[in-house]
Amino acid sequence: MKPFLFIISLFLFFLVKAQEKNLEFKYVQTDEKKAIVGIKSVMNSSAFVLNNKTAAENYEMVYGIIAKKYDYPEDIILSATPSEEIVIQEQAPGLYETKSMGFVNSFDMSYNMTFLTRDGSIECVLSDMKLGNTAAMTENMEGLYLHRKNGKPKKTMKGITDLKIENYFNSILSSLKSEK
Amino acid sequence: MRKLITIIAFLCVGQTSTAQEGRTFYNSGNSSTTKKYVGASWLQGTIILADGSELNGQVRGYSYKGNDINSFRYRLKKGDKARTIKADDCTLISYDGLIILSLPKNLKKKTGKRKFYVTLYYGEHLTVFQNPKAQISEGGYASASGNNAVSFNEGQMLSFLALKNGEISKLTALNFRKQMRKITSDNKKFMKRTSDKKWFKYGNIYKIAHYYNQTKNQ
Repeated sequence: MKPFLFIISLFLFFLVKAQEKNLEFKYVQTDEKKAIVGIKSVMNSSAFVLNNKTAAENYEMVYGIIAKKYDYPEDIILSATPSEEIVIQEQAPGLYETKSMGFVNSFDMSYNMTFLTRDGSIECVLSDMKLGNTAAMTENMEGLYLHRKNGKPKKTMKGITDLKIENYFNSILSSLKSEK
Repeated sequence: MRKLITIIAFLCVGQTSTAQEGRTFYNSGNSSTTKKYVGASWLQGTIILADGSELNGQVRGYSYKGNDINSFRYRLKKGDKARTIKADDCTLISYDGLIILSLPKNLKKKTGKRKFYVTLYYGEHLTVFQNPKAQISEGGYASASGNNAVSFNEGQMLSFLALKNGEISKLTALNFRKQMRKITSDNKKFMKRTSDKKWFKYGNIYKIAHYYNQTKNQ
Protein backbone atom coordinates (compact mmCIF):
# COMPACT_ATOMS: atom_id res chain seq x y z
CA MET A 1 0.00 0.00 0.00
CA LYS A 2 2.74 2.45 0.99
CA PRO A 3 4.69 2.12 -2.28
CA PHE A 4 1.43 2.60 -4.21
CA LEU A 5 0.65 5.82 -2.29
CA PHE A 6 4.21 7.02 -2.90
CA ILE A 7 3.86 6.56 -6.66
CA ILE A 8 0.51 8.35 -6.72
CA SER A 9 1.78 11.32 -4.72
CA LEU A 10 4.86 11.59 -6.95
CA PHE A 11 2.69 11.53 -10.05
CA LEU A 12 0.35 14.16 -8.63
CA PHE A 13 3.32 16.36 -7.74
CA PHE A 14 4.53 16.44 -11.35
CA LEU A 15 1.00 16.87 -12.65
CA VAL A 16 0.41 19.94 -10.46
CA LYS A 17 3.78 21.36 -11.46
CA ALA A 18 2.88 20.96 -15.12
CA GLN A 19 -0.41 22.80 -14.56
CA GLU A 20 1.12 26.04 -13.18
CA LYS A 21 0.32 28.49 -15.97
CA ASN A 22 0.54 32.25 -15.86
CA LEU A 23 -2.52 33.85 -17.43
CA GLU A 24 -1.08 37.35 -17.51
CA PHE A 25 2.24 39.19 -17.65
CA LYS A 26 3.23 40.78 -14.35
CA TYR A 27 6.38 42.29 -12.87
CA VAL A 28 7.44 40.78 -9.56
CA GLN A 29 10.10 42.16 -7.24
CA THR A 30 13.14 39.95 -6.67
CA ASP A 31 15.86 39.91 -4.01
CA GLU A 32 18.48 40.98 -6.49
CA LYS A 33 20.01 44.32 -5.60
CA LYS A 34 22.36 46.36 -7.74
CA ALA A 35 24.40 49.31 -6.61
CA ILE A 36 22.80 52.70 -7.37
CA VAL A 37 19.95 51.32 -9.53
CA GLY A 38 18.19 49.41 -6.77
CA ILE A 39 16.12 46.22 -6.57
CA LYS A 40 15.29 44.29 -9.72
CA SER A 41 11.79 43.30 -10.73
CA VAL A 42 11.25 40.74 -13.45
CA MET A 43 8.26 39.83 -15.56
CA ASN A 44 7.23 36.24 -16.25
CA SER A 45 8.49 35.28 -19.67
CA SER A 46 5.41 33.34 -20.71
CA ALA A 47 1.64 33.51 -20.29
CA PHE A 48 -1.17 31.31 -21.51
CA VAL A 49 -4.42 31.87 -23.31
CA LEU A 50 -6.77 28.96 -22.65
CA ASN A 51 -9.59 28.08 -25.05
CA ASN A 52 -11.44 25.23 -26.72
CA LYS A 53 -9.67 25.47 -30.06
CA THR A 54 -7.40 22.94 -31.71
CA ALA A 55 -3.73 23.65 -32.33
CA ALA A 56 -4.46 24.30 -36.02
CA GLU A 57 -7.31 26.71 -35.19
CA ASN A 58 -5.13 28.54 -32.68
CA TYR A 59 -2.36 28.85 -35.26
CA GLU A 60 -4.75 30.30 -37.84
CA MET A 61 -6.13 32.70 -35.24
CA VAL A 62 -2.69 34.01 -34.31
CA TYR A 63 -1.72 34.39 -37.98
CA GLY A 64 -5.03 36.13 -38.66
CA ILE A 65 -4.43 38.69 -35.91
CA ILE A 66 -0.94 39.42 -37.25
CA ALA A 67 -2.31 39.74 -40.81
CA LYS A 68 -4.94 42.25 -39.60
CA LYS A 69 -2.27 44.43 -38.05
CA TYR A 70 0.30 44.26 -40.87
CA ASP A 71 -0.21 44.47 -44.64
CA TYR A 72 2.77 42.12 -44.96
CA PRO A 73 2.79 39.80 -41.92
CA GLU A 74 6.00 38.17 -43.21
CA ASP A 75 7.83 41.38 -42.28
CA ILE A 76 7.57 40.57 -38.60
CA ILE A 77 7.37 36.77 -38.71
CA LEU A 78 10.77 35.26 -37.99
CA SER A 79 9.59 31.69 -38.36
CA ALA A 80 6.35 29.77 -38.54
CA THR A 81 5.52 26.08 -38.23
CA PRO A 82 1.86 25.44 -39.10
CA SER A 83 -0.25 24.26 -36.16
CA GLU A 84 2.78 24.57 -33.86
CA GLU A 85 4.32 28.00 -33.51
CA ILE A 86 4.78 31.48 -34.89
CA VAL A 87 7.74 33.62 -33.85
CA ILE A 88 7.53 37.36 -34.41
CA GLN A 89 9.83 40.30 -33.84
CA GLU A 90 8.03 43.56 -33.19
CA GLN A 91 8.80 47.18 -32.42
CA ALA A 92 6.71 48.93 -29.76
CA PRO A 93 7.13 52.71 -30.10
CA GLY A 94 7.38 54.56 -26.80
CA LEU A 95 6.63 51.48 -24.69
CA TYR A 96 9.27 52.24 -22.05
CA GLU A 97 8.01 55.27 -20.21
CA THR A 98 9.09 57.16 -17.14
CA LYS A 99 7.64 60.33 -15.61
CA SER A 100 9.58 62.98 -13.77
CA MET A 101 8.42 66.42 -12.63
CA GLY A 102 5.53 66.31 -15.05
CA PHE A 103 7.65 65.33 -18.03
CA VAL A 104 7.25 62.01 -19.79
CA ASN A 105 10.29 60.29 -21.25
CA SER A 106 9.61 57.41 -23.55
CA PHE A 107 11.77 55.02 -25.51
CA ASP A 108 11.00 52.45 -28.13
CA MET A 109 11.28 48.79 -27.36
CA SER A 110 11.65 45.70 -29.48
CA TYR A 111 10.95 42.11 -28.55
CA ASN A 112 10.45 38.60 -29.87
CA MET A 113 7.28 36.74 -29.11
CA THR A 114 6.73 33.04 -29.72
CA PHE A 115 3.15 31.83 -29.96
CA LEU A 116 3.12 28.12 -29.18
CA THR A 117 -0.22 26.91 -30.49
CA ARG A 118 -1.57 23.76 -28.89
CA ASP A 119 -4.93 22.07 -28.42
CA GLY A 120 -6.75 24.17 -25.86
CA SER A 121 -4.09 26.81 -25.39
CA ILE A 122 -1.68 29.34 -26.82
CA GLU A 123 1.50 29.96 -24.88
CA CYS A 124 2.95 33.41 -25.50
CA VAL A 125 6.68 33.45 -24.75
CA LEU A 126 8.52 36.77 -24.56
CA SER A 127 12.22 36.96 -25.32
CA ASP A 128 14.97 39.35 -26.46
CA MET A 129 13.32 42.43 -24.98
CA LYS A 130 15.43 45.41 -25.92
CA LEU A 131 15.37 49.12 -25.31
CA GLY A 132 15.85 51.14 -28.48
CA ASN A 133 14.77 50.20 -31.97
CA THR A 134 17.82 50.61 -34.16
CA ALA A 135 20.69 48.24 -34.63
CA ALA A 136 23.00 50.99 -33.42
CA MET A 137 21.16 51.62 -30.18
CA THR A 138 19.69 48.69 -28.37
CA GLU A 139 20.12 47.50 -24.83
CA ASN A 140 18.97 44.18 -23.48
CA MET A 141 16.22 44.48 -20.87
CA GLU A 142 16.41 41.76 -18.31
CA GLY A 143 14.22 43.47 -15.76
CA LEU A 144 13.19 46.81 -14.31
CA TYR A 145 14.64 48.47 -11.24
CA LEU A 146 11.40 49.78 -9.79
CA HIS A 147 12.59 50.09 -6.20
CA ARG A 148 15.48 51.82 -4.52
CA LYS A 149 17.97 49.75 -2.53
CA ASN A 150 16.08 50.62 0.65
CA GLY A 151 12.93 49.06 -0.81
CA LYS A 152 11.04 52.27 -1.50
CA PRO A 153 9.36 52.42 -4.94
CA LYS A 154 10.77 54.85 -7.48
CA LYS A 155 8.03 57.39 -8.19
CA THR A 156 9.30 57.95 -11.73
CA MET A 157 8.82 54.29 -12.60
CA LYS A 158 6.71 52.18 -10.24
CA GLY A 159 3.14 52.04 -11.49
CA ILE A 160 4.22 53.79 -14.71
CA THR A 161 6.92 51.88 -16.55
CA ASP A 162 5.90 48.43 -15.35
CA LEU A 163 2.20 49.07 -15.84
CA LYS A 164 2.59 50.28 -19.40
CA ILE A 165 4.66 47.25 -20.38
CA GLU A 166 2.32 44.83 -18.58
CA ASN A 167 -0.77 46.38 -20.18
CA TYR A 168 0.80 46.22 -23.62
CA PHE A 169 1.58 42.52 -23.48
CA ASN A 170 -1.63 41.66 -21.64
CA SER A 171 -3.55 43.39 -24.44
CA ILE A 172 -2.01 40.86 -26.83
CA LEU A 173 -3.39 38.09 -24.60
CA SER A 174 -6.79 39.83 -24.51
CA SER A 175 -6.94 40.05 -28.28
CA LEU A 176 -6.26 36.30 -28.48
CA LYS A 177 -8.95 35.60 -25.88
CA SER A 178 -11.58 37.72 -27.58
CA GLU A 179 -10.89 36.50 -31.13
CA LYS A 180 -13.51 34.01 -32.33
CA MET B 1 11.09 -3.33 -5.48
CA ARG B 2 12.96 -3.16 -8.79
CA LYS B 3 9.67 -2.94 -10.69
CA LEU B 4 8.57 -0.10 -8.43
CA ILE B 5 11.75 1.89 -9.01
CA THR B 6 11.44 1.35 -12.76
CA ILE B 7 7.84 2.62 -12.76
CA ILE B 8 8.81 5.73 -10.78
CA ALA B 9 11.75 6.38 -13.06
CA PHE B 10 9.53 6.22 -16.16
CA LEU B 11 6.98 8.53 -14.54
CA CYS B 12 9.68 11.07 -13.73
CA VAL B 13 11.23 10.92 -17.18
CA GLY B 14 7.82 11.21 -18.83
CA GLN B 15 6.92 14.34 -16.86
CA THR B 16 10.22 16.11 -17.12
CA SER B 17 11.55 15.37 -20.57
CA THR B 18 11.03 17.92 -23.33
CA ALA B 19 11.59 17.61 -27.04
CA GLN B 20 15.00 18.78 -28.26
CA GLU B 21 14.74 22.04 -30.13
CA GLY B 22 16.65 22.51 -33.38
CA ARG B 23 18.75 25.68 -33.15
CA THR B 24 18.72 28.01 -36.11
CA PHE B 25 20.28 31.39 -36.71
CA TYR B 26 18.18 32.14 -39.78
CA ASN B 27 16.41 35.49 -40.03
CA SER B 28 18.89 37.29 -37.87
CA GLY B 29 21.75 39.70 -38.26
CA ASN B 30 22.22 43.39 -37.84
CA SER B 31 19.85 45.61 -39.76
CA SER B 32 21.99 48.73 -40.07
CA THR B 33 23.83 49.25 -43.39
CA THR B 34 26.73 50.97 -41.64
CA LYS B 35 29.87 48.87 -41.46
CA LYS B 36 30.01 46.46 -38.52
CA TYR B 37 33.20 45.55 -36.74
CA VAL B 38 33.72 42.55 -34.49
CA GLY B 39 34.75 43.61 -31.00
CA ALA B 40 37.32 42.08 -28.69
CA SER B 41 35.31 41.89 -25.46
CA TRP B 42 34.33 38.58 -23.95
CA LEU B 43 30.59 38.18 -24.58
CA GLN B 44 28.16 35.27 -24.65
CA GLY B 45 28.24 33.71 -28.08
CA THR B 46 27.87 30.55 -30.09
CA ILE B 47 30.20 28.89 -32.55
CA ILE B 48 29.05 26.26 -35.02
CA LEU B 49 32.08 24.14 -35.84
CA ALA B 50 32.82 22.63 -39.23
CA ASP B 51 31.51 19.24 -38.06
CA GLY B 52 28.16 20.79 -37.11
CA SER B 53 28.68 20.69 -33.35
CA GLU B 54 27.95 23.77 -31.31
CA LEU B 55 30.07 25.63 -28.76
CA ASN B 56 28.13 27.87 -26.37
CA GLY B 57 30.04 30.09 -24.03
CA GLN B 58 32.13 33.23 -24.15
CA VAL B 59 33.50 34.48 -27.43
CA ARG B 60 35.60 37.43 -28.50
CA GLY B 61 37.38 38.78 -31.55
CA TYR B 62 41.07 37.88 -31.35
CA SER B 63 43.18 38.75 -34.37
CA TYR B 64 42.46 41.15 -37.22
CA LYS B 65 43.70 41.91 -40.72
CA GLY B 66 43.21 45.61 -40.94
CA ASN B 67 39.67 46.10 -39.65
CA ASP B 68 38.49 42.62 -40.68
CA ILE B 69 38.24 39.84 -38.15
CA ASN B 70 40.72 37.02 -38.67
CA SER B 71 40.17 34.71 -35.69
CA PHE B 72 38.14 34.38 -32.51
CA ARG B 73 38.78 33.07 -29.02
CA TYR B 74 36.36 30.80 -27.20
CA ARG B 75 36.04 29.69 -23.57
CA LEU B 76 33.19 28.03 -21.70
CA LYS B 77 33.25 30.60 -18.89
CA LYS B 78 35.56 33.07 -17.20
CA GLY B 79 38.61 31.37 -15.80
CA ASP B 80 38.55 28.49 -18.25
CA LYS B 81 41.27 27.98 -20.81
CA ALA B 82 40.48 29.65 -24.12
CA ARG B 83 41.05 28.27 -27.60
CA THR B 84 41.52 30.02 -30.91
CA ILE B 85 38.92 29.52 -33.62
CA LYS B 86 39.85 30.29 -37.21
CA ALA B 87 37.60 30.46 -40.26
CA ASP B 88 38.70 26.97 -41.39
CA ASP B 89 37.47 25.53 -38.05
CA CYS B 90 33.87 26.69 -38.19
CA THR B 91 30.92 27.72 -40.34
CA LEU B 92 29.10 30.33 -38.24
CA ILE B 93 29.65 32.50 -35.17
CA SER B 94 26.98 34.41 -33.28
CA TYR B 95 28.57 37.26 -31.32
CA ASP B 96 27.41 40.64 -30.04
CA GLY B 97 24.23 40.65 -32.13
CA LEU B 98 26.20 39.78 -35.26
CA ILE B 99 26.18 36.65 -37.38
CA ILE B 100 29.63 35.99 -38.85
CA LEU B 101 29.94 33.36 -41.55
CA SER B 102 32.98 31.39 -42.61
CA LEU B 103 33.09 31.37 -46.41
CA PRO B 104 35.80 30.72 -49.05
CA LYS B 105 38.39 33.49 -49.14
CA ASN B 106 38.06 33.48 -52.93
CA LEU B 107 34.30 33.65 -53.34
CA LYS B 108 34.53 32.90 -57.05
CA LYS B 109 36.42 29.65 -56.50
CA LYS B 110 34.25 28.37 -53.59
CA THR B 111 37.07 26.14 -52.31
CA GLY B 112 40.35 26.65 -50.52
CA LYS B 113 41.18 28.73 -47.49
CA ARG B 114 38.26 30.34 -45.67
CA LYS B 115 37.66 33.80 -44.26
CA PHE B 116 35.14 35.45 -41.93
CA TYR B 117 32.39 37.63 -43.35
CA VAL B 118 30.03 39.69 -41.21
CA THR B 119 26.44 39.29 -42.35
CA LEU B 120 23.80 41.95 -42.60
CA TYR B 121 21.09 39.30 -42.85
CA TYR B 122 21.40 35.53 -42.58
CA GLY B 123 18.57 33.70 -44.27
CA GLU B 124 17.69 30.21 -45.35
CA HIS B 125 17.55 31.09 -49.05
CA LEU B 126 19.25 34.47 -49.34
CA THR B 127 22.03 35.88 -47.16
CA VAL B 128 23.42 39.39 -47.43
CA PHE B 129 26.88 40.07 -46.02
CA GLN B 130 29.44 42.82 -45.87
CA ASN B 131 31.65 43.25 -48.90
CA PRO B 132 35.22 43.54 -47.54
CA LYS B 133 36.13 45.72 -50.51
CA ALA B 134 33.12 48.02 -50.19
CA GLN B 135 33.53 51.78 -50.06
CA ILE B 136 32.09 53.55 -47.06
CA SER B 137 29.93 56.60 -47.58
CA GLU B 138 30.77 60.00 -46.18
CA GLY B 139 27.15 61.06 -46.65
CA GLY B 140 25.31 62.91 -49.42
CA TYR B 141 23.34 62.13 -52.55
CA ALA B 142 24.07 60.42 -55.86
CA SER B 143 22.51 58.30 -58.53
CA ALA B 144 23.44 56.34 -61.62
CA SER B 145 21.09 58.47 -63.75
CA GLY B 146 22.34 61.81 -62.39
CA ASN B 147 19.13 63.01 -60.72
CA ASN B 148 20.29 62.58 -57.09
CA ALA B 149 17.80 59.79 -56.44
CA VAL B 150 19.85 57.98 -53.80
CA SER B 151 20.86 59.38 -50.43
CA PHE B 152 23.66 57.97 -48.30
CA ASN B 153 24.13 58.03 -44.57
CA GLU B 154 27.58 58.61 -43.19
CA GLY B 155 29.35 55.31 -42.56
CA GLN B 156 26.97 53.41 -44.82
CA MET B 157 28.49 50.59 -46.84
CA LEU B 158 28.00 51.28 -50.53
CA SER B 159 27.82 47.63 -51.54
CA PHE B 160 26.98 44.26 -50.04
CA LEU B 161 27.34 40.71 -51.29
CA ALA B 162 24.41 38.34 -51.63
CA LEU B 163 24.71 34.58 -51.31
CA LYS B 164 21.97 32.53 -52.91
CA ASN B 165 22.12 28.88 -53.95
CA GLY B 166 25.89 28.95 -53.55
CA GLU B 167 26.27 31.89 -55.95
CA ILE B 168 27.61 35.30 -54.97
CA SER B 169 26.19 38.53 -56.39
CA LYS B 170 27.07 42.13 -55.69
CA LEU B 171 24.44 44.62 -54.53
CA THR B 172 25.50 48.23 -54.90
CA ALA B 173 23.71 51.28 -53.59
CA LEU B 174 23.43 52.87 -57.03
CA ASN B 175 22.09 49.87 -58.95
CA PHE B 176 20.39 48.04 -56.10
CA ARG B 177 16.92 47.60 -57.58
CA LYS B 178 18.09 46.12 -60.87
CA GLN B 179 20.61 43.80 -59.19
CA MET B 180 18.17 42.65 -56.51
CA ARG B 181 15.37 41.97 -58.99
CA LYS B 182 17.77 39.81 -61.00
CA ILE B 183 18.59 37.47 -58.13
CA THR B 184 15.09 37.31 -56.65
CA SER B 185 13.08 36.81 -59.84
CA ASP B 186 12.18 33.25 -58.74
CA ASN B 187 9.84 34.57 -56.02
CA LYS B 188 6.59 35.90 -57.51
CA LYS B 189 5.17 37.23 -54.26
CA PHE B 190 8.40 39.10 -53.60
CA MET B 191 8.58 40.52 -57.13
CA LYS B 192 5.07 41.93 -56.77
CA ARG B 193 6.16 44.05 -53.84
CA THR B 194 9.22 45.47 -55.62
CA SER B 195 6.94 48.00 -57.32
CA ASP B 196 6.71 49.76 -53.94
CA LYS B 197 9.73 52.04 -54.30
CA LYS B 198 9.45 53.39 -50.77
CA TRP B 199 10.09 49.86 -49.51
CA PHE B 200 12.30 48.50 -52.28
CA LYS B 201 15.39 50.59 -51.67
CA TYR B 202 19.01 50.00 -50.67
CA GLY B 203 18.64 51.27 -47.09
CA ASN B 204 15.92 48.68 -46.49
CA ILE B 205 18.05 45.77 -47.68
CA TYR B 206 17.70 43.83 -44.42
CA LYS B 207 13.89 43.85 -44.49
CA ILE B 208 13.91 43.12 -48.21
CA ALA B 209 16.11 40.04 -47.73
CA HIS B 210 13.85 38.94 -44.87
CA TYR B 211 10.68 39.29 -46.94
CA TYR B 212 12.29 37.29 -49.76
CA ASN B 213 13.19 34.45 -47.39
CA GLN B 214 9.80 34.41 -45.70
CA THR B 215 7.85 34.30 -48.96
CA LYS B 216 10.17 32.05 -50.97
CA ASN B 217 8.11 28.91 -50.51
CA GLN B 218 4.67 30.53 -50.58
